[in-house]
Amino acid sequence: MHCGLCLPVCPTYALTGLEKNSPRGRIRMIRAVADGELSLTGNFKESINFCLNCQACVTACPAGVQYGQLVEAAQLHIEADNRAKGKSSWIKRFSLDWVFSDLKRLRFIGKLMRGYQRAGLESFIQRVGILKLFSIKLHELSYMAPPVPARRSLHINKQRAPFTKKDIRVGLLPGCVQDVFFRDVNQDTVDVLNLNGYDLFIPEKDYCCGSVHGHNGNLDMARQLARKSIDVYDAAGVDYVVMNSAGCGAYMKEYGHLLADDPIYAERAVKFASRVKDISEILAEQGWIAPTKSITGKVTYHEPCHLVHTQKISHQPRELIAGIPGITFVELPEATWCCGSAGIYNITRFEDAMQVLERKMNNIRNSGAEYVVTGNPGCMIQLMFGAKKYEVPVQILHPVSLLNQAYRQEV
Amino acid sequence: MHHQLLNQLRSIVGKENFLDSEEDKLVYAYDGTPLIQHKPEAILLPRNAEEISHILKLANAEHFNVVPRGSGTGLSGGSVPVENSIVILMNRWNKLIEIDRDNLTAWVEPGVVTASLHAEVEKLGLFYPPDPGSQNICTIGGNVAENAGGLRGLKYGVTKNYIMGIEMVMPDGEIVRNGGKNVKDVAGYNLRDLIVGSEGTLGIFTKVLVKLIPRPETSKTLLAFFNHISAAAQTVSDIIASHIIPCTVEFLDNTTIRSVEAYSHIGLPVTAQALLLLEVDGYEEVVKRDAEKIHAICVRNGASGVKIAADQAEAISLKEARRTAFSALARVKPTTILEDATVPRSNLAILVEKIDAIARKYNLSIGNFGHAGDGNLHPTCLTDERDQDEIHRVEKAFDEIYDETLKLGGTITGEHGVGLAKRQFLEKMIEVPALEVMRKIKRALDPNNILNPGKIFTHAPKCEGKLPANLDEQAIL
Repeated sequence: MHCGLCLPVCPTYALTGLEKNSPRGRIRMIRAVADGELSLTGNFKESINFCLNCQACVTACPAGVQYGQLVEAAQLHIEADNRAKGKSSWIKRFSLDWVFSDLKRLRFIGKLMRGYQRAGLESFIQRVGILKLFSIKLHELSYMAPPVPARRSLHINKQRAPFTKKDIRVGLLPGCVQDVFFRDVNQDTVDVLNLNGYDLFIPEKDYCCGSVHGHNGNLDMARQLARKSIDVYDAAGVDYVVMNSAGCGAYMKEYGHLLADDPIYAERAVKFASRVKDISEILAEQGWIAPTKSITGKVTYHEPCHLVHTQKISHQPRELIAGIPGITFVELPEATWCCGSAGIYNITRFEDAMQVLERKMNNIRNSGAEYVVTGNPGCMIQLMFGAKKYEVPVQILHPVSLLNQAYRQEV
Repeated sequence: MHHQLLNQLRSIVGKENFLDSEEDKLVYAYDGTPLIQHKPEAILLPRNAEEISHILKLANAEHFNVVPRGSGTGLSGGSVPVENSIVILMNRWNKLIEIDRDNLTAWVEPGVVTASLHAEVEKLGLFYPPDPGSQNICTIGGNVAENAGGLRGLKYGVTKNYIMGIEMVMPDGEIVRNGGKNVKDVAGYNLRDLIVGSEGTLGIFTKVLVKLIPRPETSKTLLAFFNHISAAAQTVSDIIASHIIPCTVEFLDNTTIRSVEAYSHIGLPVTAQALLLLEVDGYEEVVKRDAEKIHAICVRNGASGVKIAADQAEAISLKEARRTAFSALARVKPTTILEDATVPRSNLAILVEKIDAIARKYNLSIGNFGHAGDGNLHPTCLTDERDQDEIHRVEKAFDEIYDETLKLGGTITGEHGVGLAKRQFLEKMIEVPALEVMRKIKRALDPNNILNPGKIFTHAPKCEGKLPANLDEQAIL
């Protein structure tokens, strides 16, 4: 099947109009490589690496072609080949092999950044433009990091008693990027779940879902992290593991697939994956207390690829937003179009990511919204950066933060 | 192709508009048609009509072939390259040049995507009716070349009814403009009607003038389910007999219903043997009255359920679901072979029954869907190209299906075109003298046969078994 119905939803096809940058073209090339008709050429690698892996084509495909799995396999193959030839980019190796391989290192970078930002060094360096001496890209990238909040531990606010009690125990996974940059989102998640009467389990140590490793060629590490998570949350006896990061949630829902060949964990992984829920998903399924105090403002919703295309979660976050009194909800044109964050794509392919972002920011500007709500830390960083870069006066919020803002007024 | 010639071509369009890597050749070897592919020697993205003219003149001098292409969603192999050919890629020609609200026309470049033309003119309260299944990506140029139809064909007609003028580069490189904004214009031969549906064999379009009409005030969409195909067919006949012309009357059989539901999850009853998707549009009062009448006719014919779309959003989701039918059928088996048999409306039920019988005879799985109002059916064989024995049976079955279609006064293709996929059936359909007139036209305009050769016409009569070597040029995908 090569009907081409995937073409109109592909961001890289929209940018270039070239078949090799479309899902249909990539699949044809992947097949040629698999059949030995084509070798791992530079052009092939470029086409595959250009893909955002947003999976909009998977949603669009009536024939049910699993493009995501094909392109991921190709990416792993390419990365292995690059490393064997010593051609992997330094920025990719630094972020994957060093920063993301150990949460302590990410924390450390976070701390460094906070110090750097608070000392006024960031704005000084950006003003002087000293990074341009090294690379224009590095200079531009330096604007991308949102302010790093101080590290406080997550806590259940005893003053805010639950509205009701539920007999459901849920575990949280504070995550890596979320935990460094969006500590408040994690606290809002705790508050919202607590107020809605869930019995909460917050692990003492931090665990990582393994997606960054898995998506970039380090499957062993990803499996190790997956097994750790399964052990911890199983031992805690949770009914669900609740995620507020679309990317992590999507990956954890695929643990069954990731550990399919593991003699000990295969079955547990399938069960575990079925218990993973996005925060908007569990609230929609179990019902949530509608806030009574209103928030005024024009709000729109950007759909993270890992929610809408991977987890098929689309109406639930909108319902959360629409349930808040006072809000004027406007639909974002092309809400399901990728923002260009795409994991570490906005770091490794900065210029392409910016072109994709520009389209998103134009749509946001045209929507006239004051708040853009979205449930993924990668998208939040990218949209915050976009708002600065393209001077669009909007605030970027996680749906759970907006809901907690409304709840907070009731106390 | 000699590298000197390739260099010459490169210098015409500039090196950034010239593609000849192995990867590029691979991905322009196909269009939307199953089982057919052939790599081009290069892909060119010309920037203006003069460059196209230059390329075509060179093709005549140097004897290479030129194949025009838009988005590559065609279903008869019209934009699949042939031997010793280059592809002229037109999808970047996507400017909407002018919308003339006084004369109700629009000048567009051929690479404009059909759905984006819809969106732009509808903002102004205007309407461009042709809406092929792939409207979200197919281009106006491709629609003109194939004389594309769509869901609204019954009431509004097809692409040819909306083309008023064409600017094009002829096979010899001459740039020719014909037609215009005059509603009445009988000066000379009506060239544009010859060009519409010429499948890229008579010229490469550079500008198209389309006719617009006022946008219908409102519309209503209905779904009706039936336990027997004949009841659905009778319903269609009764609707027409009561002098209602819906803009859309789509038919899906059980196999198709199940596949579409598996993709779209819109709650279609998977046990229904037939489904009709009907839409009426126009003035509010008329739409309301017609929808009620249609509802009653469905019930009278024993519909097991009739559902009226609650709002526009639901209506759109129902129609979008129907548009996916062909691709959704690919869920069932690895290979999906789609046909385009069309009969006068009143014979549609007979054709569906014949196809069912033929499918049983050859032990094949064939899904039927199509535009019941137009008698345009898309029998789709769900098969596996690796199973040689089955593929052979598929060929035999389609031979018989087309024989039956022709016996019922039908045609081998209603809206997809002949291209490469159906050329062996053309001689069954069109009498030799008429076919010869067509060949003469092609020879007169393209004496060296450089523009999209091998499409529509076979070089030799069809024979049983393997095709002659020079025809068997397409590898199996």
